[in-house]
Amino acid sequence: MIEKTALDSFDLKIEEGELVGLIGPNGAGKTTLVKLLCGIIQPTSGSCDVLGFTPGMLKNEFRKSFAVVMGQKSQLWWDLPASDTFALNREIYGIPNGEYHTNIDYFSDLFQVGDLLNVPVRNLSLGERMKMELIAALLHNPRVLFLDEPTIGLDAIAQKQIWQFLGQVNREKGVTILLTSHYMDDIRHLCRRTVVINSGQKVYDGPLDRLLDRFQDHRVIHVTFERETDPRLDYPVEWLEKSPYKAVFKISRELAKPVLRQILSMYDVDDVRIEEEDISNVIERIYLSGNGGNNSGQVS
Amino acid sequence: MGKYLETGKVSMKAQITYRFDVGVGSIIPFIRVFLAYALWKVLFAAKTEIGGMSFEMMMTYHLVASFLTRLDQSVNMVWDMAEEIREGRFSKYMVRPISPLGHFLAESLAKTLYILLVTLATVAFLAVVMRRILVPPSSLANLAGACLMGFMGLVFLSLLNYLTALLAFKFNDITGWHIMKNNAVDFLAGALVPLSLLPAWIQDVMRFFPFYYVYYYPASLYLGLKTEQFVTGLIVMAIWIVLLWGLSVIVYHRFRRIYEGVGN
Repeated sequence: MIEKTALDSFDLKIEEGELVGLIGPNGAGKTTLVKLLCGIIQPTSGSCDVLGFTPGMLKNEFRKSFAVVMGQKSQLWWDLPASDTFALNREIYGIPNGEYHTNIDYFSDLFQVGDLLNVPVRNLSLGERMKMELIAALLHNPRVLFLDEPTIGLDAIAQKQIWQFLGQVNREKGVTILLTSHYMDDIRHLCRRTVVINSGQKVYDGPLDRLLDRFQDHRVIHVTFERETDPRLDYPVEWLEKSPYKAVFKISRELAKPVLRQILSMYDVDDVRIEEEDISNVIERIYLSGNGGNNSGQVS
Repeated sequence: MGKYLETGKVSMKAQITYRFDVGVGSIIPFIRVFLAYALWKVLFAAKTEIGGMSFEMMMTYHLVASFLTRLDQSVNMVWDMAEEIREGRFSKYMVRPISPLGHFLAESLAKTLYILLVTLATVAFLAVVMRRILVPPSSLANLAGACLMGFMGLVFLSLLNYLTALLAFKFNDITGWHIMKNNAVDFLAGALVPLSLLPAWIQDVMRFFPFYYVYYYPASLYLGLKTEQFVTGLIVMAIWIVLLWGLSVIVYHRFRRIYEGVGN
């Protein structure tokens, strides 16, 4: 049997009402952390406290105070409409009738899924199913919501709707949200605070902008031209693709602005797209850099 | 309690979506009755009574036993639960304020209730077709006793199957064990042949174990046999149900600690 330490020396404190993004590459330990906080698994050493409860004990009061949505694991009954799962959750969580109906109206309005509540889950699209999962999770007004890869496999429109929904739930209902993702966009659109995890260790805790400012060291720029062009630049770039109507190159972050200025002034540009460095590269660099410190906004 | 009633209600609704399959499935166990007819017809050619039963009683016994076999839905739920454990989907029972055992029992008994409604039609049909070789219930009191014992037998089987499913926390594949256990239960509970065919001393020993009361005893009671064992049977079954209930709770709390919730 191979034993692996999924989380190691992980110290994290989240205040009530925060919306925190947990980001890291596959296998970093994000899901393990969520399972630990929900009480699905228990730490082999150290302690874990959520709303004053020890999650592993799975006390009913604790289970009534949080909800978890795992992108690839559904709580909906596949052959029945989502409304049946909602009705079941009303009984499971003992939601008073008035509160139940108010919440159904609120969430179905927010997601605009009122006409889908009585459609069998198997007939819904992936995005619609995720919306129903979120509604099922939030019906009992949990104080904490854990989300593990909630946008996995969703198209851009559904992804955006989920962001708006979660943002609103966090602001209006004061639900504390811990969101894991390996999509940079999820974190960027939602979270003021980002925790980066790699190989089971916290490597950064603070605002995402500061993380990117400090560790993204290059940009990939895609330029398409209106006519055949052979661009020549005064700056050191690494050409990734060069064809008569298109050029793709990599350049250090500080030179991106002057290069773009030069391209726009010298050539007939049809479109420009700036690609940020992949988060896994950034994380790898942070990890390898081995900077010290445990404070907020610091790399540990 | 409301949450388990709702679980049962939702589970029954889900069953309705599979009504064609349930309808067809309700016929399968009764094929055994026709096989039994062919077999016992030959054996009764030379005798008027075997194991304390006439040919008509024997056929009735097989019909009642097949009916009860069909009602046990927990045996199929083991596959679902084991898969949920193996694929990490079992977490949904852990994070919500619901007992996995309560959920399993509610779902299993709701499916039984649905199957009961569907299968009654098949039983009624067979009873009409085979009326010349079947006997009616010996008395209403015995029929009620058989129903109560049959219900306790289903609860016992549900607990046994829940415990079987819990083994999936520890072992990757429980198929072999589950199949072996099903065959053993079928034999020990009298689903294949009446236990009255076994030597008397074995029957005496079996009366202290629950399997005796799962299929064999309700069918016997229906026929008006062994009525004096009713109270003992209730006590034995109640003790075994409490024991298995306690064991299920203990095993779950022990095994959930080794659950990692990994899978697709």
